[in-house]
Amino acid sequence: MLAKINSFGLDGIKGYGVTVEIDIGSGMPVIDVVGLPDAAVKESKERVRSAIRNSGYMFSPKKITVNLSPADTKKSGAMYDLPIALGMLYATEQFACSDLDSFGILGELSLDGKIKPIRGILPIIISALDLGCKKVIVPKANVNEASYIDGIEVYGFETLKEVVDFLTNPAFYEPEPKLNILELRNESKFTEDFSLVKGQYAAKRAMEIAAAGGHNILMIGPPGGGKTMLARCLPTILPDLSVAEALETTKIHSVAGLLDDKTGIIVNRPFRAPHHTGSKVALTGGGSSARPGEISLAHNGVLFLDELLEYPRDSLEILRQPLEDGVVTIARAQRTVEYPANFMLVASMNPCPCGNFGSRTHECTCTPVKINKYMSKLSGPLMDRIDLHIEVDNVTYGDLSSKERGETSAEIKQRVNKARQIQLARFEGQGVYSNAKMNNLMVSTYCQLDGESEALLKMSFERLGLSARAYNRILKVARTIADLDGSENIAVKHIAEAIGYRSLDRRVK
Amino acid sequence: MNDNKLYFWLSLSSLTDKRLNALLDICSPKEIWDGITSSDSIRKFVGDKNVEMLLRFRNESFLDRELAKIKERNVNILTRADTRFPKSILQKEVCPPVILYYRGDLNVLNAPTVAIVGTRACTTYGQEVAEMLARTLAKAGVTVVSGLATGIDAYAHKECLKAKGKTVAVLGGGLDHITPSLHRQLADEIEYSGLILTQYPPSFVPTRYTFPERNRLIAGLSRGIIVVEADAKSGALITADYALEQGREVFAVPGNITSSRSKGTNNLIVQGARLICSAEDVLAELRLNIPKKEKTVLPMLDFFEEKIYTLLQSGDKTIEELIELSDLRASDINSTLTGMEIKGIVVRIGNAYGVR
Repeated sequence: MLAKINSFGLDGIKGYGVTVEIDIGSGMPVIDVVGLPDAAVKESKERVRSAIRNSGYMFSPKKITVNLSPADTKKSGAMYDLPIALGMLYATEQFACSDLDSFGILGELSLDGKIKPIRGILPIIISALDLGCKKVIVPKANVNEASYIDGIEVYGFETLKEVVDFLTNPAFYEPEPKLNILELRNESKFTEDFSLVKGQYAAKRAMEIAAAGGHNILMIGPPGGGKTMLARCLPTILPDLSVAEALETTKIHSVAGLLDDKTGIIVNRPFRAPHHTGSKVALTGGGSSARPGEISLAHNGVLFLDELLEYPRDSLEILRQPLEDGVVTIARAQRTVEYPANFMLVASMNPCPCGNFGSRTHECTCTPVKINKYMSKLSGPLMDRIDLHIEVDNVTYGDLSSKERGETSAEIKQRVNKARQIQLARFEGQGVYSNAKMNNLMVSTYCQLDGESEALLKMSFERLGLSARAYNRILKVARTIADLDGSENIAVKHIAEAIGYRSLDRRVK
Repeated sequence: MNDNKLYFWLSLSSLTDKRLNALLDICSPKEIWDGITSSDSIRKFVGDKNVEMLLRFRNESFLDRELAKIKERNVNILTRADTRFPKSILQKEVCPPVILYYRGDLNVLNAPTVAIVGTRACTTYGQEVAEMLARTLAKAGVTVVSGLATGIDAYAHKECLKAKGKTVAVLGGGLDHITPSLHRQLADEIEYSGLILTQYPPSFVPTRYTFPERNRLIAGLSRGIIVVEADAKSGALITADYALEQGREVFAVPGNITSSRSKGTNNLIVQGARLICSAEDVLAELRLNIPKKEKTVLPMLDFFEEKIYTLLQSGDKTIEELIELSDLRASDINSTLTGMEIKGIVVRIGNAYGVR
């Protein structure tokens, strides 16, 4: 007898429909799984056999053929356990269901018949909706993640037996209630706050600008100056994630299996800080199953590279293309996957190997050759993509011990949100959400200078020895500063401030 | 048989400059050329090993070939017999080499010369002072001599070139081996408007002992030497010692007594070197014309600029310090400072800003 169950597969962060077909006929008692299954799918027959027996059903000792259609796409993961098990029970008429076709079914089984969570529920649900599926059965632990999408009924169960009971009498059950992202956002709490960062007013100001315009920022300073602390505080002032952004980011985290069961969704901009010993693949994503890497996990959030120059040079160079395009394409022999990677790069580094070059309080013991060698690790093309460079010097004891509280993150965030609203209105319908992502045409449209500002910029190139690559960066940053100021036009003071954030251009000549 | 060939021949032996100078005091190069085969007294003075070497190279066509090779590399030679040989190093105490290899313009040595030397690992303070001194000296028409090393040397050369002055680089190796290689471009620039010179043949690879020799030449070529920054064992102190031996003026720039890079210079001052606080001090001591200071007219300052200017007058400050002292916002300070820097009212030194 033949059974067909609707299920789904995952290609990058896109889902696609998979039909699980089970045929039971006479012959030697074996199970064959066809349709390009990977090892996890092949092993599923062992889990299914035990789960069926341990749930109190009968496992049929006949020749069973399982086909995963489309048969030419590679299937991976353990999510076909549940559909296969249900297909076998249905084919052997151990339960009846009038509209099995209308359900999409996913889930991993354990030997005792319990249903375990799987990766990638959110992207699958989104594409299930696109494919016209109205009802899905998912593992109970994945219910939260699945409940943010309207227009599709989600049913969550913990055991195989529960699912069989449900399918026999679907009318007795209510779908899981829907959740709202916006409610969750207000509950989010941060442990860091800018009011806890003593001194560092200039650095905080630069952080505010970076957050408002989505600019990449590089902090240069001696060890212990508070660079890491500043970076960790950055998420607290980043503009709120829109619903669309939240879903996009969640999709990636879902595929990577990094979601928290409780909320099931990412409501705050992610902050990823991969260690410099990590491999290139860890950063970009890849591996045999082409999983998303750190840069994609930081999508719509912050990628923090502490001690930038300690990263192997080729690890840094691979960031160039994603920084420009906002996506990373991972091509492997079997498949090509595209992951979004629209992140804000925050990096920190010492000015020299000993860390004290240019410092007023400590003496630098490095030779110029050593410093040159150290700085040359930072390639021009990568530097091209960083809008703001700031010097973060050591704070004095007076600053540290002062009782005075600086501005709180909430206060700064208000200004940032306001500036971001201006940007969203400006770029409406153009596929760009922040000043940092403006293309050259937009820069020439939205960053027009009056005569006085133009003259200042020209003079600064001559007098301060700025490099040509700084030009567009300065305009974009000046645009953000003007937005923070609520000013429609870029004024001289905005340009002047933006120029002040190009210290590295002047150091490396 | 001309002098060039004779002196070049002499420079091929492994005799030290000191022995050669002593030898040349008693007989002419021609006499050595002739006497090396016959005169026992010359042979004895030169020593067996060197006699052998000189005899091996005593072949006119060989010397012609070698000199032609050097010329091919665009390297000029200057022997002691040449009238253009710098008078200042002919002095006995300097113990000059018999031959110099150079590229560039020898005439720059006719102007008054001052050496600016110091540690390679200098601080931002050292850099600032070296640049300031080089700039003013260059404007006063003084030729700045230094050693093309990183740190103080390079800053002095660069600033001198920037001020359209003349500068001389003295190398510790052949002209084919500019060290550090990082400075090849700088060497080209110096050659273009000034002079680059060495006592070593073009293919000579610099070694440990050649740099002190080079320092002797730097001191010899200069009327006075300024040590800007030097730690307790810096090579710049060797230059200072030579300068004293040769009767040159030694100037030292005082530094923080806690800074290791100023230990050497402060010690020099303790030992009696002339303490200088400006290039004008050097010019006055050497009885040179002090150029009139261009009157700097401060442009009109606005409210923010005025406030920052007043604060910076009491010493260099970082942006962070300015924010704390002025109660201005970071954004205002940042944009004002950029404007002031462009107008030339403030300068940036390391992470700090100051008025000059």
